[in-house]
Amino acid sequence: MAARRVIADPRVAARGGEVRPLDDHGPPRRSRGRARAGAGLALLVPAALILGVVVARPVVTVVQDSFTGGGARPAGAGHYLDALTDPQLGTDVVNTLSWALVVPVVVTVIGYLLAVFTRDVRASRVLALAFIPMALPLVVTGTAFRILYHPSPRLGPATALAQAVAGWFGAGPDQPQLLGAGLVTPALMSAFLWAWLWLAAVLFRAAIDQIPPGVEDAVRAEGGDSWRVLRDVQWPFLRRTAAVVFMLLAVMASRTFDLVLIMAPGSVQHSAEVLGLYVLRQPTVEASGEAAAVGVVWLLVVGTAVLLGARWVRYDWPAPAATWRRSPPDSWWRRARPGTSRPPGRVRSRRWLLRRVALGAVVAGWAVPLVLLALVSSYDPIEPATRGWLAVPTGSSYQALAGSGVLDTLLPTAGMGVVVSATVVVVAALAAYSLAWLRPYGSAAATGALLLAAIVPIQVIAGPLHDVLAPLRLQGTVLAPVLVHIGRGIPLAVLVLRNAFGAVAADRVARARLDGSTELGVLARVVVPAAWPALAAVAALEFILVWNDLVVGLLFGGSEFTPVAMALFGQSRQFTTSAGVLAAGALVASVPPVLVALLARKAIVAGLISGVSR
Amino acid sequence: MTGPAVTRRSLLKAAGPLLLPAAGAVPLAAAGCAARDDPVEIFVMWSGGELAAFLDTMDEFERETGRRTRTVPVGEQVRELLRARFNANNPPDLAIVPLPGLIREYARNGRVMELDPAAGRHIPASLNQTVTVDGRLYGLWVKAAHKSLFWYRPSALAGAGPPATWGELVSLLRRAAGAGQPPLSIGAADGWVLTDWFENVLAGLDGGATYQRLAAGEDLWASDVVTAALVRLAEVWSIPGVFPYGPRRALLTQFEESVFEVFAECRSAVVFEGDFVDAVIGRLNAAGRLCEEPETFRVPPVTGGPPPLVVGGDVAARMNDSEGSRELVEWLARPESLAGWIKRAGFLSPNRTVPIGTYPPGRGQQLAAELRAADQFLFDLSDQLGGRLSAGQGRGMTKILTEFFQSVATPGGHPDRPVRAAQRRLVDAARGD
Repeated sequence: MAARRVIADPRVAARGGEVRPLDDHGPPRRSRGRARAGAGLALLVPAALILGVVVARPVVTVVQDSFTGGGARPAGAGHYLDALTDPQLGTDVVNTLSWALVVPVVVTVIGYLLAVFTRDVRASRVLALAFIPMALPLVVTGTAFRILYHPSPRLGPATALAQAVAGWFGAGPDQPQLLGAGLVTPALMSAFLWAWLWLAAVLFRAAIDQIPPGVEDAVRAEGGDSWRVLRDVQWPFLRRTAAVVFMLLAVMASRTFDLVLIMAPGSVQHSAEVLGLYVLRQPTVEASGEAAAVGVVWLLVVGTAVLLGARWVRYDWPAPAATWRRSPPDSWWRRARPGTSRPPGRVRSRRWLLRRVALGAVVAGWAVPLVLLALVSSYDPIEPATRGWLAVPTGSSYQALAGSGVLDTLLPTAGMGVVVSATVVVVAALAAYSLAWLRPYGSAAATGALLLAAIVPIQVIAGPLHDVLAPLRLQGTVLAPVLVHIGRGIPLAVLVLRNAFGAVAADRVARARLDGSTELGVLARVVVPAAWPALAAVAALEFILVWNDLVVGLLFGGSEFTPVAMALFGQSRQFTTSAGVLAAGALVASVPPVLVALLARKAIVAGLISGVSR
Repeated sequence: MTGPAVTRRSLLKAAGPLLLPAAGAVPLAAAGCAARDDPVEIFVMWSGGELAAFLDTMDEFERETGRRTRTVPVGEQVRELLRARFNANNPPDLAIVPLPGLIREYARNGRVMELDPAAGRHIPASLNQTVTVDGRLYGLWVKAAHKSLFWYRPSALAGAGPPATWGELVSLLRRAAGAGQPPLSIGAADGWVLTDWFENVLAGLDGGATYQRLAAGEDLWASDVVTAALVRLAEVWSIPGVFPYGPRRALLTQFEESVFEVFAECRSAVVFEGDFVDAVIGRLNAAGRLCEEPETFRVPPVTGGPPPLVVGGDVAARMNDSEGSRELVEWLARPESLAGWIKRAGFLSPNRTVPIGTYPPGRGQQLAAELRAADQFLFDLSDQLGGRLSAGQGRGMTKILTEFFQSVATPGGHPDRPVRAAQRRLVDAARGD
């Protein structure tokens, strides 16, 4: 078994005759197949039910509303025409597309380069820092970057630097304004990049470390350059990682509207606006057909893009029955792999030193926004506004925070995170096992459906979703955001878990079945123990997503529940004078998700790459 | 579909074993059953010092009535948040917002509770009128704002007294800017500052006649008076060197920062905004950061006549029929309830029975008297507009004036074209295109 080579490309595997079909084991095919199909469907029921209620039904209603809902014109295609004549919509479409496409491409590419750059650095503790920015609520990231880019060079170091540099080239004293209309969207994206880049790098690093030693050296020995190494050696192994990074970031980036709300000053809000805000900022009090029409167009655009993407990376969400895999491999953080491709001698050590220094500089640069937050939080709230950098630390911002009500939201937010992530893990594990090992009729279409469900923007379906929640008497209760979060979390959780479950050795599953285990027994005794990193990763990521949430709290929260991100956001109206309290609150609100991310970082990396790079 | 009780129970049951280890889940689950003594939830747009003052006021309410309150500062996104909460069938008990137009819209949709007419008996009729639909009162004015003031540093005007006409104001600003001392601070990042500028110029143009007709919903946006208002605005905003850190920075400067530029940094001479500037100055004073005692002058009229008086303020509306919201509105309507806030600087009560002596001596009493004595004032226009002109963030009048500011204040453009463009967009927005 161990002698079998792991093959990156399933097509090669099929040609090589190394595919071992599941059905070689067990009792005669027919009866067993029917029982499995029944179990397979049964395990899918909870996930399907929740997604049906929270996603599918509301989407259907939005499509109906876009033709028949109330608005300036009564019915038909009128709402689409009305929506298209609004010039603001053009800005929002362009912004949203850049978020959904440009940002993931940039993060994927730079993340890869960083991974290569750091490949001979064994300092996994330094790389663990990667998990701090990723785990922060976007409201916190936005606060830090709004301080960094503050229009006053006395308060915003980045502005001071940019204006000094521009000054040499003869720009006016108030140029450039990093949060001005022209630069605000790149500024927002840089905050997002800061948050996610290192996670991408760590994932690529883990994948690169699993490339069989020697292959790269062989290519180099034959005179291959770096480009050939990338194309012929690394790419087949990294394609799946690239796909996961890209999808994850596309989903995260297209959901981003927290950053726009917290970072963009009022005068550039319309320049930075994304579709998520357009749908929210309709001019009428009642939900309108126009907003629904915009939502449908948005769904069509993003949906088409994702389905095309999924087609392109078809092999990256592989059907697990088609290949077999070994259990999650030993990883770079457990045993340092010997450097195999380092050139020997003096050249190496000099280059190594340079890289160390450069890496140190990058990590230090990465810490700047957080250091700023800590500084500003230590001032009296009036200090940043009047004096900038030359202030005496006091605790008065924290005192003001204590009186602001923000702290009261911490415990409920944590409770929500725990309940939601536990439920998501259980429901998604059942569905993922079914899709990975039972493959009931229709599961081939599941990938596309789950991807689509993952990208449905909650703003678009908020109205109809309320109509679904109303007869369940969940509206306005704390269970409404719980259910919405669960529905939002399940699709990605199922996709990640399915890949991880599929990576469990086929013979172990087959043996358990032969021993007479029920499917639930196989799941509990074989698959779960083998795939625990993925389960832990999903639970941790889900907790972080819920803790950091702004939009679900905004749309579905109520008198019973306000998430901490909402409470922080409420403090931000006059930003400069609130910066002290905001920064103090931001630091407090960052502790739980950062702790979870750091504790679960190994699981997150292993879980996200298992079943991906093999 | 199964009954609601079953569904909720089964959901909890499914999550049950997972709930147990979670400490946070206990308050979560307990919150599912509504208690009789739920706190009164109040949406407000205040922040900073004003929010702190309101929270103190609510402490008093809690002490006197034994009820609990929960104040939610919602910032500029109040329209979006209110709509979301109405969609969720879970509106707050009370919203105290400076948006009578929005409250009227909600009232017409049957979403705001009618108030006992007695609630408004101490409030000027013209204010009550802004929150009346079909003869029914839907809002209680809690806070008034005198929005026709310039705040200045006397030493910066170099003995030249405050200007009496708009022309004098413009030439004063020109002189100072020409002398290399940028005189004017403006918080152009906050759209409402720009709409307040526009409203004061418009109100000073033809005795406020066009202003009133626009407020009443007449389609006069294409009129010459609106053109003139935009031209006058462009005249001030396009003076080279008028803003202390340049126009691009001004566009990203918020209201409170603009006050700091004048009174904490002594970087410029004048800032325009309402009586509530006093609250910001009070905070500076308390922190020992006030660089010079402020003085005020009224916004001079553009075409003669008395100086305009534009009034804004915050109005409380009951968003649901809870006992708590009823009690709070009754409490807020009493003249003595807000005495604590009134004694601080930067708060004017719309209640006519509040003795002028309650206000802080000097400027506070003077502004309160000015507001009280005005037999005719104009209510903030942008706060009354609905539909596409409605001045939400990045929308309507806010967006139009922001882009107008951007095009006239940044050097290089002739002001005529921006004026025409802004007016055309106002007309289009008013007609719902």
